[in-house]
Amino acid sequence: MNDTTLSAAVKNQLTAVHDSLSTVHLTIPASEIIARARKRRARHRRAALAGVGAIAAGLALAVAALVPGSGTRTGNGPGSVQLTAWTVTKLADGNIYVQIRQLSDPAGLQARLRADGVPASVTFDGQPNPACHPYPADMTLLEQVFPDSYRPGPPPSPNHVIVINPSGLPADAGVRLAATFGRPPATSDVAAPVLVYASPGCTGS
Amino acid sequence: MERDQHEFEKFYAAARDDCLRVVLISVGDRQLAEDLVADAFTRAWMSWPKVREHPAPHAWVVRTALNTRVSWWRRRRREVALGSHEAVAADSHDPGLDSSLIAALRRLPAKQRAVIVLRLLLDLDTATTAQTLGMPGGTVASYLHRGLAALRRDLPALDYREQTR
Repeated sequence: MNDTTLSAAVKNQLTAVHDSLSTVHLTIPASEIIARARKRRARHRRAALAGVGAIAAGLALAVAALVPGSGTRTGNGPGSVQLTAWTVTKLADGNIYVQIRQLSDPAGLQARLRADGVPASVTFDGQPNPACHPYPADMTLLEQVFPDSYRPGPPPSPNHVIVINPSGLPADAGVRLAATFGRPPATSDVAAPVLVYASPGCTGS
Repeated sequence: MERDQHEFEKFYAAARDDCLRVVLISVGDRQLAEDLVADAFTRAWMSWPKVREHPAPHAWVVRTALNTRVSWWRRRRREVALGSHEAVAADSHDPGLDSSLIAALRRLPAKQRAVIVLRLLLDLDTATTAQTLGMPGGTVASYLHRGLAALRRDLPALDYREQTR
């Protein structure tokens, strides 16, 4: 069978499969697509501002050990680079910019987020906090709370960046940050942030 | 602006189901396909002055959807589901999607798969496929040849079916 014949055979079969999907419809209205684009443009504008914050955060690394919003120091010995496990920066637009370089000091990160007004549960041991219960959230709500964390694109590895918009959180919801469940903790295994019901045992309030 | 929006809405209404079906064939997961296609249309509207001039705007949408980091997007979805203690949504069970050809198509390298989808499923010519994928026409022909050869290796029944039809 030459390419032309084979091509025709494949095309016939693909077309048959395509035709069999006649009941499959994309039900999202055009108005929602346009609204998403509007939000994304606004996000890009905010991201430009966030970039300024990120640069500031980067500069702050030079004195990381002295920065109140930074986690455990890593790296030892003379001449080693003193990086922190994570950095939390409150941006001018109210968003919280979290950069995670190493899965350590979850209690410190959790306390820092709570101090910044984010009801949060942070665990890096690969196990979910049993006191946390899932908050029903669709992708729209997730994108609202994590404006720069849910867009498709290259993963932010190895330094994970999560942007949290506290004003987008429902009153009874909090944020759970965790290592990917079922795997040994590693820098590249920060799970996608999710929403949970706020409670004293989970998010502290 | 209003005219642009009207034009986009017309395009969206005409192309959205077809784009979804084509992407669904390529990725096999209904929810994932919807996410990818909706995101691609969002990008299309954001770049509408450019997309409207494209010789095949629906192919632009399909290509954009398929170019999205599917594995990362799927992993995100799974983590969200696990984090929510929910079962991961089962793949769509449209019978046609279970065929061995579709399984073999999904095993192809991304570029070969994209060329086969655009050339054979969307019926684009080589030049438009090349423009859509941003590669020379010769490369399109080469990917098509290699993709078909891989399908033939994977599916000897293709030859058989064709010969006994």
